[in-house]
Amino acid sequence: MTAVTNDEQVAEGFLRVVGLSKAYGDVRAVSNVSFSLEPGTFFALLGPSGCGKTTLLKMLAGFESPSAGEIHLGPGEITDMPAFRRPLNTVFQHYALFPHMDVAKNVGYALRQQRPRIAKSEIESRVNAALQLVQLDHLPRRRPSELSGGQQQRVALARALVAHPSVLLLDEPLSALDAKLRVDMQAELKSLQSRLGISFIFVTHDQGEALSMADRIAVMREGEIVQDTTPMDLYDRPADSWVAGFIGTMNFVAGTVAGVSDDLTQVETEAGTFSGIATADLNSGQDVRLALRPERLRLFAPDSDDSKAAECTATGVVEAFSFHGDQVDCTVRTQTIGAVKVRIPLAGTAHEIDFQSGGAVVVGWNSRDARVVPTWNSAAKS
Amino acid sequence: MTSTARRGRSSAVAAGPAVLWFLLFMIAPLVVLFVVSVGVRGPGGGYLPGFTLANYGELETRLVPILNTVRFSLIGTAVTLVVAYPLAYYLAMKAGRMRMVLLALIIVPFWTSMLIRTYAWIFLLGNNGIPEVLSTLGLADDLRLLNTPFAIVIGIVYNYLPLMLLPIYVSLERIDPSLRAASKDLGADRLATFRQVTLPLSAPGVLSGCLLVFIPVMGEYLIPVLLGGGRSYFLGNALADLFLQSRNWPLGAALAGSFILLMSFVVVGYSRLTRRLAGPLPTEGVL
Repeated sequence: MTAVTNDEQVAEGFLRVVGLSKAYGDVRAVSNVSFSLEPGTFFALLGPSGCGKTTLLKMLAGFESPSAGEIHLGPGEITDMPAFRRPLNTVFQHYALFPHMDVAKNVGYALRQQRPRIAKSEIESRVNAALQLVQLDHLPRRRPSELSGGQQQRVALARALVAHPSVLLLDEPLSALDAKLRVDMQAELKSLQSRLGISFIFVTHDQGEALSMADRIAVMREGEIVQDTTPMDLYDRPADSWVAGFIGTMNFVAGTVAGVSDDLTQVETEAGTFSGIATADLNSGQDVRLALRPERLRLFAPDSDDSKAAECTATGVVEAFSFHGDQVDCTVRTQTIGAVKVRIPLAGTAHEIDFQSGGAVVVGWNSRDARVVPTWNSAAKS
Repeated sequence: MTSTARRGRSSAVAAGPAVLWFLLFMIAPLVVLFVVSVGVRGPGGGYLPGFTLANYGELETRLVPILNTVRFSLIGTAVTLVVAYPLAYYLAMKAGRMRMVLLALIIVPFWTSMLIRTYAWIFLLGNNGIPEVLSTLGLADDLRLLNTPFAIVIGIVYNYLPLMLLPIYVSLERIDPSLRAASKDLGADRLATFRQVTLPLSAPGVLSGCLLVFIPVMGEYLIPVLLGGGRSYFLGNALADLFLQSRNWPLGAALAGSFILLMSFVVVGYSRLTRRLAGPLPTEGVL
């Protein structure tokens, strides 16, 4: 991201947010959030409920006015622009379709507001084009109450896209759909976004949704953006222990930084010293966690020679076990580093291992697969 | 088969008391009313059996109270709507935590008798009331408010305000705030949002309120007597006179019957209209 100093040269759909904050009395819902977005980015705002992601979206849409900070869109500032003038449109969580209008009237709503007025025939053809975009052009006369959840979702999308916004805001749009439909809609949203080439800002608390759809994910916690990066980087190099635990499954071993050699950081734990790749700048003696993804771990039979290939090992017994067809998830109670979740593909050496509860196993991993993340706790922060 | 039959029988038994009630208190009085309306007036007043439609022919002599009533009911309903809508809008959208307190303040006065409340307006509108205050302030001299059509409209608005306010309030309160947000998001300013979203979605409440005010005002008796000074003669007053003063029961019954018929057309028209509107109907099951 290049720093932008001159608004004049900025592309149409370039969104830039600087130091945006929103306080309700003493409560800071959003504090000092900054990011910029190249046109055509699928940007997910990810966080647990109450992290401020919806408030941030409302400020972008113009439903809430910021306590501090600026929002720039393209060559102009829109911080104080009323919602109805902003060239951004929103897909609401529960769609907010107008119950007294049919599908075509709903979709054409934004076009009917424009002055000078748009000719009726043009409205009609643009409504039809928008409905084609979401494959609903066969149902223009239906009322929203006569549509399924998925269809309502599509109408909401068409309605928000009909006026060609430069950025589309989506407020947990898939949360009201059932699981299967949600997966279909994820793929469709993603392809829609790449065809249109505009930015989507997608608010969600579902990390799977964010990981699978977004080009970039900003993880929010207590009103702040903790980490803003690509899904892969977010998964592979979480900024701290909270992010590491929030995204996917993670095993942690608590310890302190003992030293740094090359690109590996040594962590002193109760179970001995381990190494891993640090995901943030760390000081010697700092409280950290050694973080291990279940799929980065390997399982060996206790008498297997293969386990010598792993740089680090911990022996233990299988505590719980679940079979998923192509892979196996199991929890191993180790003697040294506590309970560890392990995910292994069935194609490999799994048949040699005794998965029965109480079966003895060895958990092994390489230092380059371990991450060292700073420990985050909310009490220490406030 | 048998179970359906049994269920049918048991539901008929369950509906029995309701049907009986309906026959006794709804149908029977209407039958009596009709029988009286085709009878003849006794020599000393009252009713003698007979069959004649003359009473219905004579209705045109009562055209003045009929037109008076319809006119005042329409004007009164319209003015009540104009007063109640902004109030209901404020309560539903802006009042926040004060909402319940304000609603109570509007409703509580109506726990006292309508007669007493209307008497209070006699004092307010009378020569020692508002006209006195205005002339002391030098704003108007010799203003006459009591016993005018204006006083009747005031009486109607004051007495029927909650009946208009509550259905409108309910329908406004039920509108999902995100619909207004969506409207603004799509480029409509506040006025355009009100016109295209809020107003149409509150239409069922407006219709219910108008009906709830219009029907009882059509049968109003007290307000024209107390505030109109008997100058504006309503149907209710005409009926009271026919039954109690001139004791022309058959003509009274014919007038009352036609009135009931007229009102049922209004109600049917109302339900036709509401069925065409989307959204919740606050009076569903009431009317």
